[in-house]
Formats: sequence, structure tokens, C-alpha cells
Amino acid sequence: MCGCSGYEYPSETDMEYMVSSLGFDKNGEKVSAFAEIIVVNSGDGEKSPEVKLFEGVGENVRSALYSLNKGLAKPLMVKHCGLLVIGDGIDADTLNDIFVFSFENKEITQAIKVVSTENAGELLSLKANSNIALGYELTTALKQNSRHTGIVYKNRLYEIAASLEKKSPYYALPVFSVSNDKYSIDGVKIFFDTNAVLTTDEKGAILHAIMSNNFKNGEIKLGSECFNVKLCSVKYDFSYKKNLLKTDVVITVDTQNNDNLLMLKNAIHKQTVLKTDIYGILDRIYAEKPELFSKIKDNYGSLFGLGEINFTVRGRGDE
Amino acid sequence: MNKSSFLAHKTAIYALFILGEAGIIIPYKNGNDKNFLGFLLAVLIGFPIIYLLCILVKKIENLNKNNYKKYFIAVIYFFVAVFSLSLGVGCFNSFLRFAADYILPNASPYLMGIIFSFVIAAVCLSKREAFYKLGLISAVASAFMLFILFLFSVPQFNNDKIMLLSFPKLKEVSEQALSYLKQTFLPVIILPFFEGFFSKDNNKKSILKGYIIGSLFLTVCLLNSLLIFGNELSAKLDFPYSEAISTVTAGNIFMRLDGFSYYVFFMSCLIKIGLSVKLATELFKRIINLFALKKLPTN
Repeated sequence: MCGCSGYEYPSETDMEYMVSSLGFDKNGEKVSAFAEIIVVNSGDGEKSPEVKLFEGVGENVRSALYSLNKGLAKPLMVKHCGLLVIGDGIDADTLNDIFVFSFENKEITQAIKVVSTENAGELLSLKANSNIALGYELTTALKQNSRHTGIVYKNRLYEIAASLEKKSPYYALPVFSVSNDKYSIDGVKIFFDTNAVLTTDEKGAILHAIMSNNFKNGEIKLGSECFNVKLCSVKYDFSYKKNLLKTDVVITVDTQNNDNLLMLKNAIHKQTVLKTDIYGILDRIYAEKPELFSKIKDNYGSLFGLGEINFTVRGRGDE
Repeated sequence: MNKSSFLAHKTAIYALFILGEAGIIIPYKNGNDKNFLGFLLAVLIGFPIIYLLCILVKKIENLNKNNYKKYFIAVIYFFVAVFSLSLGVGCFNSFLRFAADYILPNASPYLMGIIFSFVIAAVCLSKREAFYKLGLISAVASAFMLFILFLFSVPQFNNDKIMLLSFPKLKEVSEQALSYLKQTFLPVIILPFFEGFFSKDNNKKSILKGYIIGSLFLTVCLLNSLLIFGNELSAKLDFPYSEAISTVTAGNIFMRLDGFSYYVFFMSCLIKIGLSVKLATELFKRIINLFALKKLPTN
């Protein structure tokens, strides 16, 4: 009987490998899938839980995952997976496959966070400092970063899915970099649909967040100055004359003093405005001016690229 | 127990009937940014319809069942019974699909169908009082769970997702309202028949109160999905409410709270199917009684 032999039946977490994070890389034509797994060891009270990283390689996402599963003694339990890491080598089609796989797998929660890095395997092989699994630690680090910088990261799977349904399907994934066996959050990688269009540093990430109304209250470092910025409002004005679309975006902020406000104005003024709508302008047109939207929706891509978009920053007292 | 003491029980059953499988499925696939407005319009339109139906059913019940009126009444009973059964079958299919995808994805759908059928049979064969008590307990528990899950979801809500920045066109709103009227509120027309023929009360109050409470339940489910996913994504998902709750965390410890929503849908579907089958059975008995020499006992 189990009481006499000292054997305890393993729990569900011992019958499956509990995945804390998934990662994908692409080198040439080969896709690599990584799974960070927590081995609970509930059957043996002496043994602490441990973390392992498994890899599978294939021609595409599904075959990489198949190769990953094939080499394992137990099936993967992805119910508690908290992080999805996308390597820089992943192209648009492969990223689409990753999203399709994640959306279709009912076990993967829609709240899983998606991040970008140069090499997913390298990031996931780091040792966690404050948590049993690196995947969970990175999600906490993201939360902390969001509180500090004021950037509202909309990088959960359902937020990306919602962005892909919008008229301007852009989203920004936080970028993790690895140096000396340590990780850091170094800006964002902005995607339009599944194509990467821009990678920015932390300063650029904050400025983009302010310009696209995905910012609350945080600290920004401009030059040698570091100051707090609170976003009060973002207002849009559109005009369309002689096939020219002009968008004026008025951003009202609260900074500590006028010097800071001036620095922010200059920084935003100098930001490169891309020919791709990574600010959600078309969705604002759709919401605020439906008649204008129906006029321009069919050739918006070229209209936006040839048109004007002006960002103006005002202080709260200037309203 | 006298008839009036079942008022709360019947209100609860009608509320759960309205929640039914709609709570899992809304917003429907044709949903757009006028979704929520359309839903509210449908709720408003449904209210007077059900009120008028309550009066109509009472009149049908009081009709003198002589020769030609007997056939007229029999036809009405027949269509309502078939409609009621079709509602039960539709709800059964929806719940089974949900269970196969989410609750027990590794289990055989046939096995789940058999087990669920046994549970439904037990509910359908239960006495009236037992059915009422089950309804009341389930409704109270469901209300509590829906409320708590809504509160836990609040930190993830984004009001921009349903905010309208321009005045909507009536045509767009009415298209959405029609969708909700057809699929969610049209089935409510059988409730006055249930109230009149099964419970033999014909108390409009319990139906109208149940309608309001059921609509509130649906509002909570719909808002939960829309404020997290937005209109377009919610419309693409098969079971938006469950997906929305799966993203909710309570503190840093409790995650994947969608399991709590399974109970709500199980009970609402069970009550809806039970009510539909009980009503259909009762109506078929009445049709037979209209033409039989010896009356069959009715509930």
C-alpha cells in the first residue's frame, strides 16, 4: 500500500511538463521552438522544483513544436504559460503561424505576454533571480517597467489579436536584450500586421507611447535630464483636401516645469514619422469621422504616406 | 407551499433561461462597434413584447375550447412546443460544443453528451418544486459569480473599446439589435406559456422581473467581453466570455478563473433545456387532452 512503501502518487503537474514560457527563433530556413519547463517534483519532498529549457527544430512552427514534443517523456501543459518570446529572425509569415498556433490552442491563455528579443533561446536560457522560472520573472519585470516608464504595453495575446482587427493593425512588443548573463528592457519593436517596421530604444518607446496615446504617467530621460511626464489628453483633427490627408495631433501633458516641456516638444518634433500608420490614426478617423473614413479607406496606405501628420505638445496650463 | 411563495424561484428560473447559452456566445459573429447599443435596444424592444404576450397567453388559456377553437389552440400549442424543443436542442448543442472545446477538451464529446443527457433527464423528470428550488439556488450562485468575476476583470477594462465618438446611424444599431432579438430575446416568448400552463400561475411579475435580471446577467457577460477584447475581436471568438475571464487574475495568485464561468453556463443551460422540455411535454399533453375522451394528468 502506498503508506507502507512511502510512495506518493504524483500530482497532475508531475504527469505533464508545466510550461512557463515559449520562445521561437529562425535561422535560415529552420525554426526553433523553446519551452521553459518547471519540473515540480511533488512526489519527492526533498527535491526542489527545477527549471529546464527544451528545444525543437523544424521547417516551420508546427514541425518545430512537434520536434520539441517528440523528444519529451511527458506531454506539455501550457495552461500556465505566461510569456511568448519572438526572436529577431522570425519573419512575417512565421510570426503569423506563431499567432495562429497561440490563438487556436485553447490551453494557452489569451493573457500570455508577447515580447521580442534578438535570440529567444539565449534569453530563455538565463537564470531567474527572483522567481522559479524566468518566464514569470520577465512578466513581472515588464509590469515594473510599465509603472516606471508610464508606457502602457498592449502586448498580451488578446491585445495583439485586437490590434490585428483594427483599421491600423499596429502593436509594440517590448524588447529584451541580453548582456553578461543579464537581461534588460531596451525599448520596443513596432509591428504593422506581422511586419516589423521600427525598433526603438527606451526613449523612443516612451515618445511613441505618448504619440499613440498609450502612455499614462512615467519618467523619461532626455539628454541629461530625467523628469516625470503625465499625459493629460490627445486630440485629433483631420482635413482632407485635394487628395491630401492632414492630421494634427495635439498632445497635452503635465511636466514639472517649462524647460522639461520644451525638451519634450523638441524630442517629439524630431521623431521620425513613418510612412506606415503606427499611431492608430485611421482608427481615430473611423471613430470620429465615419464619412471621411469611407472616402479614404480604400487608398489609405498611400494617402497616409503622402500626407502630413503634425504632433504638437502643449502644457496643461496652455489649454 | 402556496403558489405565491414560488415567485422568487420562477423569477430566478426565467433569469437563467434568458442567460441560457447566450451568455457564453455573445456578442454574435456579426458584431461591430454598435454592438452594445444594439443589445440595449433589443432589451428595450423585448420588454413590451413579452408583456403583451403574457396578456395574450392568458386569453388563449381562457378560450372556450369548443370544436373549431380547439384546433386553433392545438396548432398554437404544437408550434410553441416544437419551438420550445428546438430551443432546448440548440442550447444542448451549444453547451456541448463549449464543453468539448474548453471544459473537457481531451474527453470524447459522445461521452459528455451522454452524461449531460442523463443530467437533463433527471432535471426534466424532477417535480415542479425541485426544479424551482434548483433554479433559485443556481441563480443566486450564478449572480454572485458573475458579479465577482466582473469586479476582478475591472483592472483590465479599457473604456475606449466601446466608446462611441460619433453619433451612430439608426440602421447600424438596428441591425445589431435585430441579431440580439432573433437569437437571444425571441426565445423568451415561451416563458408566458410556461408560466401559464406549467406553473398555472400566469403571474406577469415573475416573468418581467426574470427578464430584467436575465438581461442584467447578459449585460455583465457582454460588457466583460467587450471591455477586454473590444468589438471586433469579441465577435471573432467562439466563446468570448470564457476567453475574457481566462485573462483575469485575482492578485498574483489566482489565474485562469474561467473555471468559475463553467458553473454559470452549466446551470443556465441546464435550466433552459429543462424548462424547454418541461413546457413541450406539458403542451403535448394538453394537445392530447383537447381531443382525448379521458384526460391525461397534467403537471
